[in-house]
Amino acid sequence: MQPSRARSSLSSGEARLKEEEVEPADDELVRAFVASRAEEPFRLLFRRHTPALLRLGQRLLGGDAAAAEDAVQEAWIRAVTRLPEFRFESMLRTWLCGFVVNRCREVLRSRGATAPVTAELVSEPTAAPADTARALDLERAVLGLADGYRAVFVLHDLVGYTHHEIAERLEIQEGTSKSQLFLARRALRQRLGGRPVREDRHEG
Amino acid sequence: MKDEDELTEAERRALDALPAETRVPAGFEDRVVESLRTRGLLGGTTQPSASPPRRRVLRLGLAAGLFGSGLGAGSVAARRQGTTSQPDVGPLYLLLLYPGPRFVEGRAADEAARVAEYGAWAGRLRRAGQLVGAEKLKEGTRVLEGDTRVDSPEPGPQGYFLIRAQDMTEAEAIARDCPHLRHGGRVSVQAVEA
Repeated sequence: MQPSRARSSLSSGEARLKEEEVEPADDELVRAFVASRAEEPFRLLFRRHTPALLRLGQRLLGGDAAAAEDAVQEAWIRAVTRLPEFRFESMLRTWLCGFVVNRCREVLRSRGATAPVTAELVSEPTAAPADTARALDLERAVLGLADGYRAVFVLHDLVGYTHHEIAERLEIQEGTSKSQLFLARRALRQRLGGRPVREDRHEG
Repeated sequence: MKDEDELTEAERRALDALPAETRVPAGFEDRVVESLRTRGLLGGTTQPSASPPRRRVLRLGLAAGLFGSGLGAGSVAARRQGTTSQPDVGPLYLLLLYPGPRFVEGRAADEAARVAEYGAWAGRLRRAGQLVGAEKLKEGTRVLEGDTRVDSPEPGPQGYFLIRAQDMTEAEAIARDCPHLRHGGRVSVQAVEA
């Protein structure tokens, strides 16, 4: 840190006021939409959040892209219906994910124990990272987990939910969430052949 | 992977590296819009210009909101002026602040409160002679592996605090008190190798 910069920061709050060109924030778009029901703010919200919602839906539904689209569509319909109630006590993305999780839970329950597992998701990586093969192995292994294991694993280890939140969202006991996670991780390790999942660092 | 309950650090990084988003199929947006319209949840068709997608605003930068108030800078200035209560000795620890899955961005109306909150926390460190430096980091992390730039689905750190503490226990205690955690962020604590 440069002392000159330090002095500037300390002495001049105005210096930190700056003009920026910004996309409207979520709360601005939500308020605009709720007030007008106009298409434009909805589309902006949709474009901002749907890529993540779709990825979550695909993971929860074992890579079934078509079912994930249906789930996300239904999630948006439910979310739009309840948008006037949203108070921004959580991030909009988190709130929207809740609708996707709920819908996916319903889909998984309706499927019972015969859930198909497809490879649609893993066949179309969007990001094309340099270590695509390793990422696809891991993604494929996650998608191949049994529904119950996968839902808990995705929500805990990929989305960041707590066991308490998972229990509420999936309508299961907290202890069940913990045991499912333990079993999911073990199954995942077995699916990956017992080899450590490690980062390829292009070492020689 | 180890056959244990907890994820290893390598496993955590591998999972974090998985993409968080996916491509939205062509036509999906229009289908959802149409389904909303048929349910009466959307108003009539609006012209693209009805809702300006971007605008120019004058706002307090996030740097001020989270790390402003001359936080890290304050420590430099304070030491120079000899106003710290303790000598600035002891091992260094780096606190990295991440948004985390539940991080709540401060709205404009909250920004002044955030400035005060983070400022009070950092001010205590500064007065104790424990704050060495702090900066807000811009968005747009670039991650390199070998000669390749790889996608980083997880956001990079939002800023850092370099502090002095007696040991990791004290450093962690300081981090636990960081307002960032109360706003859903994550804070990592790591010792600087002497």
